[in-house]
Amino acid sequence: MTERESASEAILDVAEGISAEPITQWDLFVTRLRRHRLATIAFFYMGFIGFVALLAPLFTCQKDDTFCGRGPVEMSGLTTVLMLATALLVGYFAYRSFVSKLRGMAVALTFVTVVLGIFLVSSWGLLDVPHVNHYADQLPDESGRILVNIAPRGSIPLGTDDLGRDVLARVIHGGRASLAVGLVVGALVALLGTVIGSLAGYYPGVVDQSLMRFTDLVLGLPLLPVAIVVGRVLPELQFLPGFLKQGAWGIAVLVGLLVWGALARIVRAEFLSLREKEFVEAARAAGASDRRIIFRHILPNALSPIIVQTTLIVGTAIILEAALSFLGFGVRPPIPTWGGMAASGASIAVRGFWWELVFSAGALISTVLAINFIGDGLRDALDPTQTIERK
Amino acid sequence: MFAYIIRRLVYGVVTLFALSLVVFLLIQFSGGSPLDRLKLNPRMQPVIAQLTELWGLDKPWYEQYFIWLRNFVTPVDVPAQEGLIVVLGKLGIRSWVAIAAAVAAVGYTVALFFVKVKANWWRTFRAFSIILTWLIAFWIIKSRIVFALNWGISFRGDGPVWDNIFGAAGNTFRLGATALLLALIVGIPLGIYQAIKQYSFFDQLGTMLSFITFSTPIFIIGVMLQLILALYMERWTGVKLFYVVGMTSSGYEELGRGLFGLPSLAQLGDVIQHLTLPAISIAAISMAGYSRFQRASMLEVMHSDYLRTAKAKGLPRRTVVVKHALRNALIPIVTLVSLDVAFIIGGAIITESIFGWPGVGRLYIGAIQSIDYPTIMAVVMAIGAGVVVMNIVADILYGVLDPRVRYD
Repeated sequence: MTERESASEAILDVAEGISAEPITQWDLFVTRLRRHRLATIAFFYMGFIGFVALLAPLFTCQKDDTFCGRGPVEMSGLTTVLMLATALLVGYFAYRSFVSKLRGMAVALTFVTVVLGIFLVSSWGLLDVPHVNHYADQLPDESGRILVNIAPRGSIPLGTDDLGRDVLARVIHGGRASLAVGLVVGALVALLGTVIGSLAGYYPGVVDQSLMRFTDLVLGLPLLPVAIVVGRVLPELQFLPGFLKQGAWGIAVLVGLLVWGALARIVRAEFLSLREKEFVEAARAAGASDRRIIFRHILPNALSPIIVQTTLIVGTAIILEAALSFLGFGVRPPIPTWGGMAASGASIAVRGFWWELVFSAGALISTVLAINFIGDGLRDALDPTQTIERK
Repeated sequence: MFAYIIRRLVYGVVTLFALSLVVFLLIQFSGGSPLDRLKLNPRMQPVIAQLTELWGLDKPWYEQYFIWLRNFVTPVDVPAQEGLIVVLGKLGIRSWVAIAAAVAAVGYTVALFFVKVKANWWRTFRAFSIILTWLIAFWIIKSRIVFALNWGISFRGDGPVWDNIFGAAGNTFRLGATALLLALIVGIPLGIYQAIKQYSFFDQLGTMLSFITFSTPIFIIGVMLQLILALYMERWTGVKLFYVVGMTSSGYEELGRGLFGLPSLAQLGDVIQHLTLPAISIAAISMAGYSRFQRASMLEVMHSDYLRTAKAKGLPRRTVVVKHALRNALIPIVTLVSLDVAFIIGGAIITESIFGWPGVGRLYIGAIQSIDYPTIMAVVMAIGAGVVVMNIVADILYGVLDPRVRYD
């Protein structure tokens, strides 16, 4: 019996009084999400990408690392296969734990915590750039020549770039920038958009007016030109701490601070309509405080547009970061990013060396595509007007 | 309605102030003087002194900001060369003509909104006469090149920023307008067809393709088009169909002139060969967006009650689809198109730097690289003003097309 059937069966069981096991909103959500084939695959894929990117320092060799023998050339053959297999397994379990019926939320949270822990431990690669340049290692052959612009072949699955660096290693590391941007922007947008939107929506009058004027102001800024200026001057801003000047973190914070406006408007609109609903009135009549009404009554009901919109904004943010890096105002070389690799790949693709461009672009497009599919799937799954029996 | 527009304009001006302040402060705190590049050249000493005095570069940032602001709105006359540096002169009589044209255009637009005539022909007349007035005013201002705002002189030695931007804006307009047109004439029919044939193979294919296009960054579309349709195609088949750099070939002028000073067919072909690829790369994402949006809006109308009534009356399917459904389904996309202008300008910045298109975007990237702050500020303000105006236009158009919308 497939899972889809089992969920429907469980619903029927309860309906017919056979089983007393309650069907939670989570179960309904998961069942609806699994209907969305592409979103399911996208979840799986993002787990895979996330895992590979998070653990990138473990997969690719470090400079003067004896473990890798002559360097990354050796490792790229067998280790790649092993790496992919492990990643697929972990991605699958991540997916299973996220959507499994039994205590899905708890398992998912544990998994996210563990992954975040690993991420923090391994993220020194992003924080402390000058000392880690395994992705900047050039590949020498037996006679010590640097292998520049090597087409993909057995031991170098994705070829090398114009400086003789392994494209596979750089694609893997490049994902870290995109992922950092995705995480930071997601968190920032969800926080800023929700707080500002809900305050504006719940407290009419001065609070609403001033917050919304501020939101209009941020939304009125032309996104790309402003992002380009900030990206350009970011490494030179005197008052910023060091880790924001280099690498993806500064870009992520910058993008996050520019794109929360749309979410704030949506949250405000939700709050405006929910505030007038009978259940809120009932809560108020029962003497609930503002805080309780906001957090226990309104916010949970406004959660689905927040989740969906944040997911979609994350996709946009990753594209924006890539565009900035492509133009040279995002994450600076030699730190690899997909956008930056596309830029250097484009310049050598003119001479027929297509691999760096194609693989970095492919990684970028597939990741954003997966995020958009997840957003689409979540939108369908979180829509309470959709019945479980829908086609 | 009128009060609403005025209020929106005030908000727009506030937004522009905030925008200018943010960008100005960022440049101020980025360390180093904007004249660092000029300092490398010993011959530039007098120029540096002059610029420092003109822009108050030795004063604190708030004074510099006010100097910039005052200059930014000050009209000046034709720039005159003087030594190494371009000097902007005082206002002459021809400048006053241009200013008068601008004031007359604004005054006419405002005055028309006070005339209360409730008739359809009046609305049409009002809209067209406003557009016409502005076109004439713009032509007077631009054609004589007598009128300029003191947007300063490029720190890279490119001359007056006003001239640079107005020179480049025409090129960006050519690219952006083509892209928008392309996106509309492909995207909307696609969406309508998908909605009529909902769940067909074509519909699903279209949905999938627009999803993929929507997730593809614009620079990848541009680079891929450049490589595959131009470079690799020429290499494999020997056919040179598209050019990848610039607006025209170097031998453009020798291609002959057509009648009435219009470009000849050969010249037109040359322009199209240059224009196609950058226009497609800007248009692709908007195209996907329009077809998705048009499909949704068409489906919503197709499932509405009045359409069922129309079908039940026994009207031919064609009448139902075109007269009842399509007309109403086209309303929402007007807003989308007006709001898309910001996105198209953003796309133009990226595309122009890929295709070497001499527009505002390339000007901007060049200015950013050498922190040429008069140019940066001017471009950002021009784009910001464009976005603000288009947002207002979107709202007004929506109100005009959909009588259910009321402004207060």
